[in-house]
Amino acid sequence: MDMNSWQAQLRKGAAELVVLATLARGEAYGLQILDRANKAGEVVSDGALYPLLTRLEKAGKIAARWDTEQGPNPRKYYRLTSEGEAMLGEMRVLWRGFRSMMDNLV
Amino acid sequence: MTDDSGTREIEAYVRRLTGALQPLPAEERSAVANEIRSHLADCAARGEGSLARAVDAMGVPELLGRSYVEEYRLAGALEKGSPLRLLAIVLGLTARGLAGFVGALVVLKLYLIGATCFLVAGTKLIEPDHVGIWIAPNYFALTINGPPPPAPVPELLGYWIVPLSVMLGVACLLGGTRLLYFVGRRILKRSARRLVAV
Repeated sequence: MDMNSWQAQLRKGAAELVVLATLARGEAYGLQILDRANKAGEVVSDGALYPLLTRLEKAGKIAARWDTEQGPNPRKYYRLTSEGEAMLGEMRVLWRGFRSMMDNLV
Repeated sequence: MTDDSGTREIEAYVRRLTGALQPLPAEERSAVANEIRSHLADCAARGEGSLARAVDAMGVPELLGRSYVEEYRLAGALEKGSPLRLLAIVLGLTARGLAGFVGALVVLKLYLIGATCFLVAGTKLIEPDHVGIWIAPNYFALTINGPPPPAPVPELLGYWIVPLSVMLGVACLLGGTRLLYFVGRRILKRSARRLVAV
């Protein structure tokens, strides 16, 4: 079995939870989200993040605004919506249960 | 601050990405391009080598653009409730997945069977002697607008074939449409997960 491929699958499953959890700490733009999400190790890649953010925004889980006043580089800031907060809460419960189950098994 | 060569590299990347985003509405295309440009500019400001690493991590701009376009088309078709448009998109995407391809074929078959059932019902009303099911020892025929069998083989359903065909046709169309939306949502989820790669 290819360990890199298996590890990539694990990360794929966690990416939405990680992005929502980082936004729970406060509004952030793309690079900030990446910095927070990948602080302990690479979970979400640059190329994966932005389509994921677009999808979450269209699904109503996050909302976005452009900030054109801070310097020459406009930035798109994201924050959780109430739907996103609810979804994050559910995902956290499921994640804790899954982690506990896996800890007992392995 | 991004130097001139960095700016040129960013603009070259965004130009290729924008080319791949052509199927998107102009506003959406512009929003995606601006966001990626902003990201690369932020990365470039972090020092030498950062921009190159960021471009590498973003991947080939044409592939990144395609992922946006696929998701936009699929999500749009699912949302707008247009089965034919969704079927066309699913068929276009299923070349990359056996399960989706099989699902799309089953949907097509169900739609064809449904259409045939409506044809049977309609033709029975116009040409009743030429549509029906005839069964006898050593003889079976299911005919739509074909020659009636030689007498005295009895026709099985008579005009009951009309409501039965309509019901079966509706069931096939509804079942096919439900399966189509299921396949479309599965492909959408799979394409989203495929993007999340390290």
